[in-house]
Amino acid sequence: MHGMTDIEYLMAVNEIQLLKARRDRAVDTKDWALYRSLHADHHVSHNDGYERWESADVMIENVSRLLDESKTSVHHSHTPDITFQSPTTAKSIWGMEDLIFDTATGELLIHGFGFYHETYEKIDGKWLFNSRQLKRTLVREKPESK
Amino acid sequence: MAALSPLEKLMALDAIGLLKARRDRACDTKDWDLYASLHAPDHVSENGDYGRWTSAAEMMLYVPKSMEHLTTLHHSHTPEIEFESPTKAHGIWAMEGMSFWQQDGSDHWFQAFGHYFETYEKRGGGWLFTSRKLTYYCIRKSEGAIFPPKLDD
Repeated sequence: MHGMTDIEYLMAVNEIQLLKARRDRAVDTKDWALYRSLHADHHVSHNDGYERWESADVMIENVSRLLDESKTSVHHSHTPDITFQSPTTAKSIWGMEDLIFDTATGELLIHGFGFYHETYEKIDGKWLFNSRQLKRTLVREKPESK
Repeated sequence: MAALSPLEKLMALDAIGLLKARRDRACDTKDWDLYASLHAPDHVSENGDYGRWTSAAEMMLYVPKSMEHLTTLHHSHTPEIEFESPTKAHGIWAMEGMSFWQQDGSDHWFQAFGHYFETYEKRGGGWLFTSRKLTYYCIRKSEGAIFPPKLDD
C-alpha cells in the first residue's frame, strides 16, 4: 500500500541500498563530508551505549570524534528488510557486523553484531537517512581473534 | 546517448551483481576458466599486493599462481553502481578478504578490509569486467606471515 508501481518500488529499494553502501564506506574511510551529505538535517541517532543525537550536525561531531584516526573501523551491512510507508518514506532493518581496531597497535578492541533500524525520507528527489538505531546482539571486547 | 529505462537499469544492475558474485566464487573455488571468462581481454587490474596488470591474459598468468597455496575468502558487500552509458558502468564494493596457508609447518593467515573500485562494459550482449582496483584500509596477519606470496619462484 505504498502507492508506487513495481518499477518505482524496485528503483527506490535500489536507491536506499546505494545510500546505505555510501554510509558504510564513508564511515570506514572517514569521509565525513560524504557521511554528513547522506543524512537529513533533523536526523536522529540512537546507538546502544550512547545518548540520542538529535541532529545530523551533533551526530557528525560525535562520530568523527569517536572514530578519529586513532581507530580503524569496519562496518559491513547485509540483508536489508526495506518497507515503504509512502513513495517518499521508508524504514529498514539491516544485519550488521563491525570491528574497531586501535590504528597504532592493530589491536582488535571491539567485534560486534546487531541490527541497524533505520528510517529514510526522499527530500528534493534524493533519499536521505532520517534516523538510525543500532541494536546490538553481541559485543566482544578485545577478543583473542576474529 | 539514450539513457537506460528504469527496467533496463534494474536488469543491468542485476547482471553486474551476478558478474561480481561469479568472480568472487570463481576466485575462492579456483575455477580459473570461469574467472577468465568474466573479464574483457583489455581488463586492467591494480592491487596493493602486486601492482598493475594491463590485460586479462597477464592477470591470468599471476592470479592462479598467487593463490596456488592459499585457501581464500573474498566477500563483497553493499555495491554502489552507477552508469556512464547503457553499456558502461562503474562500481564500488566493500570487501573482506582472508587467506589461510601453511608456512614451515605452521598455520598462517591474512585478513584485509577494503573497497573494490571496478568498471564494467556490456560487450556482445553480456557485461564484463574492464578494470578492478582493490584498496585496503585495514590489514592484519599472523605473526611471521609471508604475504603476499612471491610470484617469481
